[in-house]
This record gives sequence, structure tokens and C-alpha cells, in this order.
Amino acid sequence: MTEVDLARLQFATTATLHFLFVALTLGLVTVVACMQTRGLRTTDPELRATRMRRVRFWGGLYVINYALGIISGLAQEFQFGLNWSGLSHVMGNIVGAPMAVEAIVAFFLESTFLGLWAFGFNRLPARVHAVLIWLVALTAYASAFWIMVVNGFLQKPVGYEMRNGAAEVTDWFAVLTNEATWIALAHIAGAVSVLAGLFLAAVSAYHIRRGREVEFFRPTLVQGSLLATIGAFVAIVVGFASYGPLKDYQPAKFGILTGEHDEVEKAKAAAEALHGVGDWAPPSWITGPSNLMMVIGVLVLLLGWIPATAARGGGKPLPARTFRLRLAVILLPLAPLGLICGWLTREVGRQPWMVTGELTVKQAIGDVSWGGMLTSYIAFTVVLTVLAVVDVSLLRRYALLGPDGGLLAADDLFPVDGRRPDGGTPVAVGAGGPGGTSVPHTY
Amino acid sequence: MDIFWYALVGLLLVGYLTLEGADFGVGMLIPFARDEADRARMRRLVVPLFLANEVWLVAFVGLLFGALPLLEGKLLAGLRIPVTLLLLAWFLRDAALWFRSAHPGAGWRRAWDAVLPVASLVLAAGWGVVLSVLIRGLSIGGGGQPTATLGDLLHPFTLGSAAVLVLASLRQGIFFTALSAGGDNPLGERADRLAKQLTLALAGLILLTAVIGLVSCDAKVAVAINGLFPAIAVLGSGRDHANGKTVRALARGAAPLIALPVSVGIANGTTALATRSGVGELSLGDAVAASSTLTLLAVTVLPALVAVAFAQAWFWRVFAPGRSAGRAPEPVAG
Ligand code: HDD
Ligand code: HEM
Ligand code: HEM
Repeated sequence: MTEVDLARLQFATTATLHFLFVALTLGLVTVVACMQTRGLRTTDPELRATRMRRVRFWGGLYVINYALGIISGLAQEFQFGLNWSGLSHVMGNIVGAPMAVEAIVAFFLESTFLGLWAFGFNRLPARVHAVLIWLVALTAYASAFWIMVVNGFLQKPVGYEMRNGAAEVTDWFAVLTNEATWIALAHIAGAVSVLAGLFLAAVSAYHIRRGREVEFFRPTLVQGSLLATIGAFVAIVVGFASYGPLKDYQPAKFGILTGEHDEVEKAKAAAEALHGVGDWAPPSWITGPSNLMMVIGVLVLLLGWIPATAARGGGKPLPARTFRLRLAVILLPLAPLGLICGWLTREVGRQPWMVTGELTVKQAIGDVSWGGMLTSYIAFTVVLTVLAVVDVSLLRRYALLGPDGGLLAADDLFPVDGRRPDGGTPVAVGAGGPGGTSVPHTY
Repeated sequence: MDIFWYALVGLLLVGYLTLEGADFGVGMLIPFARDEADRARMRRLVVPLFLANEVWLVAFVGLLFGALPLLEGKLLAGLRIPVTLLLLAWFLRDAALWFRSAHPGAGWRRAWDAVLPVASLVLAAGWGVVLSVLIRGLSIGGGGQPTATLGDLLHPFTLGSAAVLVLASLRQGIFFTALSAGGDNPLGERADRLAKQLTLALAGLILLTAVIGLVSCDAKVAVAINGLFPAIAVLGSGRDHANGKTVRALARGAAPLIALPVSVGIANGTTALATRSGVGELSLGDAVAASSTLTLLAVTVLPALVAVAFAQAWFWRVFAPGRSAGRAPEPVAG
């Protein structure tokens, strides 16, 4: 393994970790925002209380997941400077700005809004509080957009000119409307809905099968199953639609993915004519993850909606419809698997280029020793993996504890004793600051 | 224009250190709390706030990459070791704040209660190291690139500056705890005594570090400024605290945390990245992005910063210490 391989492996590891958490964030935030809006729009106090209880439960899981989205995102942001200073050297004028905009327009605002929302349950007027979750959703998708501007540019560089060995933007409009960005975003929107949908359905089915809180989880079982199926449909349509543009801007990747070998040979010959003798095509094993991703897409489309049908009609009581409820749980791991496979396809398929046709991965690496790279790879991987495992086990714990596990109930992010067995109205534990008084929640 | 972006980037870092200094301090003080309830209270002092505070650093690195891309690459690559340590400490600090009370187990809490102070300490010391190395100027590494060698990282001026940031943060943490706790300070009676001792120790340490710096650094003016103003401000804030003006004590007590990044700017001037030998330096003019890039930043980032300013002010209004849930506005409906 050279230091280039290590740097790539490090990026791949942290990016994958980051994306798995972020994908759930992006998928869940809209779900929670819709729940809260519906809760607000009813005048029936009992219905409203039930709906807000749903917001607290799913919103709590959302917040736990968010923690690791942030922590792993920090690793992402610093990696460019730490390992890939060659990229900023040649492409800094282009890839730097969208990341700066992302950091400020999206994260700075997003984190502030999220903090206000997560800790503001008892402190802000109901309407303001509901607007906040929509602002969080908006800024989250804005951050996805800006980062995908960078990734789109790596796949298909547009709107620039090389001057003295560094790229300068000549047309921001072209950079921002890059099809390699927008198609990917649409595909990602579908893919994250698959994840969020299967997550909703699986957690709901788990509780329903045990006869716990059946009415509480019935709507989310249906919503989750349908969301996953629609998401799969969108991902499949956009996925197939992306082959056309791909043939244009990454013919070698296209040829390998679709098995059109003359396409690959043509692309190789064209690249050799331009850049000299070399291996200008990505490794052929990317067909593996690519095919698996498609199989998963089709499976979710065919099976994803079935658990929803368990919630309908007479006959057996809902908890006894074991097959369909189990199915919801079994499908869940497919979503993260599909996401990872998709990224392997896209990113490994970009090889050997960092920026297609312009800058190779080897040129983009900074001047870092092998030992230094190995040490930081191990350190980052160990710490982030441990934290990811902790986060996923907390997510699991609170998901399985159910709505009385209490996450966003008290003033604190988590109530002091970790759960409130009484279930009923939230207890403001010890209150937020000095002289804090217990207040029942405002909904 | 170059200077404007350079200063704006610097401002974000100053904002980060000013706000997070108190968070580092409270984190380091956790072992001094009297019992479990007090530890939980102290953690909750920073829990809603750290999220809004640490994004200043995310914004700093983001804007650094956007407006000064070459500086970002060279700076982080040259400071690889301390930056990696800072990042790891940052992850663990955040995890400790997020996760501690998510599980009732006693061992679980003890573990995070150990992680939090250590990670906070590394963060405070690490920023002292990184910034003081930049005041002294970097060495030249094997590849001819500016690098912080082990000798730079363990230089007396570096270590002194690291200790200054640790003590300054600790002191901010004590003030912050006192401010939020009202009459019942989780640190107990000791808090005032500790603050008094820290004031003298900190002022002495700042001056000692400045003397070391005057002997060993070329940037004498920057070192002198970095010594004089914070020392005076720290003594002043000690008086404020004794007079019960804790908010003022906090404001003046932030001086050492502000002076260090400002001194980096003074020491380097328009040399964005300085080396002691002058070889391999990066000038601001070379580091700054092309004008087409700066235009995009100007139309997106500047309005966004205004929005951020409002959002942050709102955040502090809702969550500033001393504001309790009981004072929430009446819900509009329901
Ligand atoms: C659950 C997630 C999921 C599912 C079911 C699918 N995808 Fe996907 N796919 C992704 C998750 C994903 C992803 C992780 O989100 C990627 C990586 C980068 C991106 O834009 O989306 C991706 C990338 C990606 C790429 C690479 C694009 C490029 O390199 O520019 C192609 C060609 C496809 N997908 C095609 C498909 C097809 C034809 C699917 C269905 C039959 C499909 N995907 C289902
Ligand atoms: C978060 C979702 C992402 C995932 C899961 C992901 C996945 C990967 C993987 C698997 C690799 C290794 C490819 C290889 O070395 O063969 C890689 C490399 C890389 N990706 Fe991504 N990527 C993501 C987003 C991005 C974005 C948004 C950017 C640009 C801003 C980016 C830039 C890079 C870079 C610089 C490398 C290292 C150089 C290389 O190997 O090409 N990635 N990524
Ligand atoms: C590979 C380049 C990437 C970098 C440098 C990066 C950087 C970051 C950073 C620094 C954070 C934490 C910000 C905070 O403190 O709030 C973060 C979180 C986030 N990132 Fe990434 N990111 C990358 C890839 C992606 C991709 C590909 C997506 C989506 C398509 C994405 C979407 C998000 C979202 C929505 C968040 C908010 C936190 C969360 O929702 O969990 N990022 N990212």
C-alpha cells in the first residue's frame, strides 16, 4: 500500500461512515417536519398530543443520529487540507468555494437551527418551533447540494479554464447547474428515502409485533413502507436515466458498468491519445457493487410496500401478521448496503482521476509520509468506528425502548435517568438552569 | 480585498476560541464537581451551547478553503500532527457531551466523565500549540514544505502558550459555572479560591511566556502584544470577579484566547504562512483565491453571515445561562 492508497482508503472509510448517518438525517428530517406540521394543524388536543409524541420519538432518534453526522463530517472537512493539498493547489479556486458556502450557508445555520429545535421544545412557541424543523431540513438539503457541486465537478469538470497550472472558474452558472450534480442529487433523494422509509417501517413493525403501542406505530408502518417504495422508484428511474449523461462524460465508467467493452476500449484509446500510455480506466470490479445496488433497488420496489398492507383490513389482529411485520425488519439492512454500493460505483468508477481528465489522484495527494498517513488512518478509523458503534447502539436502544424512552421530552437532550418509565407527561428533570422550574410541555 | 477575506477568516477563529474557551473550561472542571447531580448540571450548562459555538470552527475551515485555498492546504499539511490530535479530541469531546446521559449505566457515565476533561484539555492546549507555532514561524520539512517539527511543537514558547490557553479556559469555565449556577455553585466553596489563584498564576504565566517569546521569536511586537494586553485584562477580570461582576469577568477573561490568534495575524502580516528561515513562505497575494471565486463567496457567504448573526443571537437569547424553561413565551396555540 502506498501513501496514495492509504489516503484513498481513509477518505473512503470516513466518507462512507459520514454518508450512512447523513443519509438517515436527510431522509428523517422531512418525515419529522411533516409530522410536526400535521400535529400543529389539528385543533383536537388529544390528536395533537399523540402526533407530538410521535415527533418527540422520531425526532429523538433523528438527533442521536445527527451527532455522528456532525462528528464524521468534521473529519471529512479537514481531510482535504490534511491529505489532499494537491487538490487545493490545482482546483482550489473551484472546489474551495462551494465547500465554504456549504460550511457557512448550510452548517452554520443548520447547527444553530437544530440546536434551537432540539432543545427548544419547552421554550419556544409551537409555530416557531415547527418552522425551525423546516429550516433545519432546508439547510440540510442545501448542504447536500453544495457538497454535491464539488463531487459533480470531480466527475464532470465544467465552467473553468486552466491558467498557470491552476483552474479558474469562468462560468459559475455552468458549475452550479452541472448535470453530474443534479442527477446525483435526485438519485440521492430517492436513496435516502429508501433508508428513512425502511427505518420507520422496521422500528414500527418491531413494536407492533410485540403488541406494544400498536396504534402509535400503525401510521408510521404504512408511511415508512410507502416512502421506501417511492424512494426506490425514484432511485431506479433516475439511476437508469443517469447512464445517458454518464456515457458522455465518463465513457470508461459507463462501458464497464453496462458491459459494453468496445465503449471501454474506445475511451482508453482516446485517453491514451490525450495523456500518453497508461491505465485510464477504472477497475472492472465496480460492476459488482453496481449490480448489487440495482438488485436492491428492484427488491425494495417489489417488496417494500408489502408491510403497509398489514395495517389494513379485518381478520387477524395487526400484531399477529408476523410475516409482513418481519419483512419490514429484514429489508432494513438493504438500504445502507445499497448506499455504500452506489458510492463505490461512483467514486471508484472515477479512477484514476481525481478530477476527470484533468487531475489524477496521484497528483492530488499532499506531501505526506507513509508512516504519517498510516498513523492518521488508524487513529481516525478507530475513533470514528468506536463512536459510530456507540451511536448505532444508542439509536437501537432508544428505537427499541419505544416512545416512553423519552429523548426530547425533558429540557435536556436526554433525560437524566435515561428513560422515563412512567410514560405520561414529561418531567422536566432538574430543569435547565438555576431556578429552572418544571413545566409541562407546551403542546 | 485580500486583507478583508484574511481578516474575516481570522474573525471566525477568534469567535470560536472566545466562545469555546468557556466550554473547554467547564469540560475540564467536571472532575471537581461535588456529586453526580452537579456533574449532570455542569454538563447541561454547555450542552445546548457547544453546538452553536463549535460551528464557528467549521465555518473557519470552510472559508479558509474557499477564500485562501492554498493556505488551507499548506497550513493543515504542515501542522498535520497537532491538527490530527485536535480533531480526535474534538470528536471525543463532542461524543462525551452528546452521549453521556443517553445511558443510565454508572460505568458508562464514569467513562465519559473521564473523556470529557481530557479531550477538553487537549483542545485548549492544542490551540495554544498550533497558534504559537505560527507566531514563531514554521520549519522546512523534507519535501521543502513548511512543517511544524517536533522541536517546534515542544519549544518552550509553544508549551508556555499551551499552558496559557489551558489556564485561561479553566478560568473562563469557573466564571461561566458561577454565572449560570446562581447561588448554588456545583463547584462549591472552592470556586472563588480557585479563581483567585488562577488569576495570579495565569497573569504570571502569560508574562513568562512573553519573555520566552521575546528571546526566541522574531515577531517581537506580536509577542509583546500577546503578553501585555491579556495580562492586564486577566488581572482586571480577577477584580471584576471579586466584585461580583461575573459577565464582565468573562468578557475580559477571554483576552488570552483572543490575543493569540490576533497575534498570529500581527506576526505574519501579509505573509499568510511564515517560516523562520523565510524559505517556502506563502504570501497572502498568492494564497487568496481568484477573483471569480471571491465574487461567488461575496454574494453567498456575506448575506449568509448576517443571517447567522441573527440566528446565533436568537440562540443565545433562548439558551444563555440563567434562562430557564419556565420563562418560555406562551405557546401560540394549544
Ligand atoms: C439505497 C440506495 C440506492 C439504490 C436502491 C440505488 N442506488 Fe444508485 N446510487 C446510490 C444509492 C442507491 C447512491 C449511494 O446514493 C449513489 C452514489 C453517488 C450518488 O449520486 O448516488 C448511487 C450512484 C449510482 C450510479 C453512479 C453514478 C455516477 O457514477 O455518476 C449509478 C449509475 C446508479 N447509482 C444507478 C442505479 C440504478 C440503475 C439503480 C436501480 C436499479 C440504483 N442506482 C439504485
Ligand atoms: C459522503 C458520501 C461519499 C462517499 C460514501 C464517498 C465514497 C468514496 C470512496 C469509496 C472513495 C474511494 C475511491 C477509491 O479510492 O477508489 C472515495 C474517494 C474520494 N472521494 Fe468520495 N465519497 C463521498 C462523497 C464525496 C464528495 C462529496 C467528494 C468531494 C467533495 C468526494 C471526494 C473524494 C476524494 C477527494 C476521494 C479520494 C481520492 C480518490 O480516491 O478518488 N467524495 N470516496
Ligand atoms: C466528502 C465531502 C464532505 C464534506 C467535507 C462534508 C463536511 C461535513 C461537515 C463538516 C459536517 C458537520 C457540520 C456541522 O458541524 O454541522 C457535515 C454534516 C453533514 N453533511 Fe457532510 N460532508 C461531505 C459529504 C456529504 C455528502 C455527500 C452529503 C449529502 C449528500 C452531506 C450532507 C451532510 C449533511 C446533511 C450534514 C448535517 C449533519 C447531519 O445531517 O448528520 N455531506 N458534513
